[in-house]
Amino acid sequence: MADNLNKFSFTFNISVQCPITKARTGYIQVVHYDVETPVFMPVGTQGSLKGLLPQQLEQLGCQIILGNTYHLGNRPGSEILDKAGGLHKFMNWNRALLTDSGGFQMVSLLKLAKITEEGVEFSSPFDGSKCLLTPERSIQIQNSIGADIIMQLDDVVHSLTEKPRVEEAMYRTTRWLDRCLIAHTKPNTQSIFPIVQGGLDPILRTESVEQLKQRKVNGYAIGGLSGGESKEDFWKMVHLTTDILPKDKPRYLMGVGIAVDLVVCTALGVDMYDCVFPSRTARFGCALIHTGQLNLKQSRYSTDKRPIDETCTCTTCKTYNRSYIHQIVTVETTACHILTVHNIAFQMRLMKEIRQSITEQRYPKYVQDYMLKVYPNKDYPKWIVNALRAVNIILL
Amino acid sequence: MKFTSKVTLPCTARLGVLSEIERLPNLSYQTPLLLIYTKRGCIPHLCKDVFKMLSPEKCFLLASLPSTLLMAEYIKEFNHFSEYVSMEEYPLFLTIQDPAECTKSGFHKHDSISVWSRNGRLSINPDRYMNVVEIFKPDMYVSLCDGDTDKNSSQKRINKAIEKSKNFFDKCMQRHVESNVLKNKGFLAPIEGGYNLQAREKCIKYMKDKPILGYIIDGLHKNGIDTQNIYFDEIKHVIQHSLNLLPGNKLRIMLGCWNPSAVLDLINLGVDVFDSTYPFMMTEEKKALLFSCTSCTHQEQQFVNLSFKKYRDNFTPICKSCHCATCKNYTKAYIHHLIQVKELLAQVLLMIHNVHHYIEFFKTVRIHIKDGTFQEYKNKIQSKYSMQM
Ligand SMILES: [Zn+2]
Ligand SMILES: [Zn+2]
Repeated sequence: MADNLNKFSFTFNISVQCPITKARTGYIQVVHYDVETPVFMPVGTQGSLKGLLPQQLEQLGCQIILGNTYHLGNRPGSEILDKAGGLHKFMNWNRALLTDSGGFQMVSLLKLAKITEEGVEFSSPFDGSKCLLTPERSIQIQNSIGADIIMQLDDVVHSLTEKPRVEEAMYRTTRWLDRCLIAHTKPNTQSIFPIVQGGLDPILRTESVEQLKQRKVNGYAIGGLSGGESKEDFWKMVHLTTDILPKDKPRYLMGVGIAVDLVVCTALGVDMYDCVFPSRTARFGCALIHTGQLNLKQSRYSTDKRPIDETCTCTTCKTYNRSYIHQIVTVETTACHILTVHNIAFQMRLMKEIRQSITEQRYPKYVQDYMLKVYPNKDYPKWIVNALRAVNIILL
Repeated sequence: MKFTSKVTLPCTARLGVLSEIERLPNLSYQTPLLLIYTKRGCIPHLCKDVFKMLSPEKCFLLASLPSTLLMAEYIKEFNHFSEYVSMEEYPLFLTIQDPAECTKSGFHKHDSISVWSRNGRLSINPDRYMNVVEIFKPDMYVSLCDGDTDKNSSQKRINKAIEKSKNFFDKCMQRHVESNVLKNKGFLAPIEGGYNLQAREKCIKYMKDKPILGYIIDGLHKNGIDTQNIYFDEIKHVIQHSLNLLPGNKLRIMLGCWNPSAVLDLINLGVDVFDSTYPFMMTEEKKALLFSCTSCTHQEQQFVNLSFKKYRDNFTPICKSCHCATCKNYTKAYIHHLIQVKELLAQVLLMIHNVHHYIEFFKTVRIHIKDGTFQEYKNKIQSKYSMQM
């Protein structure tokens, strides 16, 4: 029986592989849902997504959302989550969930975090007491949350850190993965993804992948990027990593979610993304469009009778005009909700187009058309030209 | 717009129908009616698709000047307010002050009143007001009035309020009948006079034979959450006296954050229309309403305050017999968590439940009046309040 469960707790199927680029489309079958890939995962930090009902998220086509272990471990805490029967039940979300390890949050949120072999040491922001997040503790909390996909605790270093520290972090990340796998109590229903580290060093990244490949896991996260490195370094690291990761397992590129990045990285063979940007930017009054974003606080929208995006079919664009949104933006909570709806719809539509064009074996053409739409004057950023050329796409 | 009411006895609970809404001729509304409170054109915390899910019926909406006045120059480019805020399927009632915001007192001039927007004080005279009304084109509205009185107002302030309101009424009425876009809209007169019976009588005498849809009984409070603390006994004589004098075939409206027990008493005296400020204010206080539930074990409670720690592991819905989207899908523990971490979804879920609860309350009231069982229902609900009253 246990074996049976194990077999079905995670499968990844690639239905179509792009014959020209490294892009692929398929689905990840986890306990709660069959998630189509490539997929974008909106971030619902504390067990809710910026005021949207799970029902709205379903209508928007969200198949998997991300929760933050650091926040959920603090509040409501493992005890309540255990009593509730996990986060799915607690927040009434019936599709897939992924949780991060809490490590990144801790290092980026808490100035005083100190990393030792044991784990991440920090002072509690609530009472100042000394706390320690170990790989074991991270998995314990993630087991309480009960997400379908969970992350190992990794040794997070900034992508521009000096080599010796990057090297230390890479090896430590592997050691921590082994501790996570041992501590994991629900392998039948939750899959741990290890995190590829190694900064911007090809040799260290390759070594990291080689080590992680020897462990029994269902997918891989690409970490340590999207932290201020140049876009040229960024795409090269993604390209290198997807080249050496096993083809039959999903690849999750952490913290990436800007539209052109999604289009490029999908061509480089990435299957999963997450980013707080679409929902965070909504809070500040910004709406995503193909060429960037509209800041609806600007007075030029006060007389604009058009919807945010005439080609968008979301309830916001079908309902509200820019002039009215300008009046309520950052004043009424409703404005935040309707912008979040649009921004999530924007991401979901993009991913759907991406999947469809891969399925129909026309992804290179899709990428060419997409980039021309975003850069009508063909002033393509160099990194995009180079990254796409590496996977045999020449821009128009 | 037309109002018909069958009962003509003064000071009894009555049923009526609001119909012939010029812009939305297929809609009609039974009274006692609940107007749904909006601010800046939004039902607070709810976007339109969530509101549609909460109430498939086309509720009658309420908007007020403080949050909307400065939008007028943009609304001008649209057909009307309701189109601008994308709520065109819903009828709209426009009132002067915001019933959910405590109105700043003072700043009186003889020919204008003050309205406080986010950008500060705005002075409005009847002409400016009617210009805005012509742009907004509400389906029902009241003439500009001075309602800046309450229990503690001086005789002098009350007299000023009445004189101004009478004067404003004449000016607004004249523009109303002359305006092609407004003449078929529901037009209401204010009844001012604070807690002073003679003053109320004077105001009613002036207004009672005007060719209008009905009256707003105004000037009893200065809006905001404090209105819920007014005991019915304090206003009973004023309301009774006023309703006895007002023509029985006209609509009577009382706006503000009245507590449900007072609403039942006011309905019992023949007031026809209220608004949903109370469930909104309760949402802001993190309270979930239970007062009209008569089937669960929480029978004695008027509401629960979900910010209390005792709900952290309470995995039951706010009310087991409630059919709202919140109670069908979420637990008190989850809402408590959302409140703790200051997630906006807390207010969304509370608002869905509270507004649903209040809409159902009004439905139940109408059924009981129709069935002749209103007194029993009223007593049952008010017993929950007897500890306090
Ligand atoms: Zn949209
Ligand atoms: Zn409910």
